[in-house]
Amino acid sequence: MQEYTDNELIELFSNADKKHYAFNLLVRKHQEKIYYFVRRMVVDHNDADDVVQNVFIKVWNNLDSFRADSKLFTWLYRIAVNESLSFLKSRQLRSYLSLSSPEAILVKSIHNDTHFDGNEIQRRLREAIIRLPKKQQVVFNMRYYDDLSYSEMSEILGTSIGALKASYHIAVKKIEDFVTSY
Amino acid sequence: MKLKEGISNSSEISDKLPQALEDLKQNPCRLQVPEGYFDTLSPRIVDKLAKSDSSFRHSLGMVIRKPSVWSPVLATVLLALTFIFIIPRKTSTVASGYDTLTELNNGFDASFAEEVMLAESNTLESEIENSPAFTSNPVQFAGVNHLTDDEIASYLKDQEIETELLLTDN
Repeated sequence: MQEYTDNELIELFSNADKKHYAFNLLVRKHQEKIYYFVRRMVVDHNDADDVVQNVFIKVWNNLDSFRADSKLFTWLYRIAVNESLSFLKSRQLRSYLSLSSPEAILVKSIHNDTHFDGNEIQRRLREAIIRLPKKQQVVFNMRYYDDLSYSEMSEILGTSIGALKASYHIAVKKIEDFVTSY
Repeated sequence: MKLKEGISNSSEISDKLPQALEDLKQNPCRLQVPEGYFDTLSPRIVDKLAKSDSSFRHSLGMVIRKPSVWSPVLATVLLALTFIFIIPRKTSTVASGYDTLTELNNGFDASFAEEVMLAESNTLESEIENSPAFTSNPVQFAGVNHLTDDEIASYLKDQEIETELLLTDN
């Protein structure tokens, strides 16, 4: 299959006859990175699947108005962050009704996650990350797992590089503390 | 990495954590997905888009078919048409009344009134000039019109009016 650049895909998408074709290629190109980012945030595979589908539906609806002055992947990531945080927020509302804390629900999801084949230590590590405040969690996942630069993260999150560095440093410290005090 | 160092220095169990963390990073497939998940994701999204589009049309169609929905809409449309087409006609009646009133008001305008009065006086003048009394011969007074110069002079003398100047030309 021919490998298109993001700009070529956008151009292809603007052609009404090739819209579906371009969209398929775009999803295939970015789906894994977006999925794993979302999965780390929302833990459960089925929830991640819902969120990822919403992300790409938003892409479909808004790609025509996407301005090429920023990278497509940055834009995709921003949508994924927003959708993940919206999902967690809605779950937080549901948790008020079920009288459980949102973290407790997520931790329970980690322990019941049938789509995870890591060992106990890795499970514990996921728990430490999931207990971070959401913004720190986003920063940690982007920096550590996805190897994004601080400038890319700054563009995605609209936060200064200094604040992101501080946020990452605090997140690392909290994970250390959680793991060592287990 | 500081995290790895921090974790490795903490305890015996956490010695394994840096490795675990690295393993999670290098093998995202630890977070498993159902078989063929990524192959079917794109078609499922397109399918969902088509369904949401058709379900929107379907629900719109269902809503339109319900009399409880379209009858108020129809009533509103009729009411709107009434306001659009009937009220402007009333407005035009008012406008014509306004025009008459404007015309009357113009009568009180000084220049306009002068023109009217001038026109009226010209009409009267022409009427007088064309009247039979104005166009007929001078009135004849029997026996009075044929006075002699002497008779006139004696009359004037009786009235003590100087006659020399009057009668010199004659």
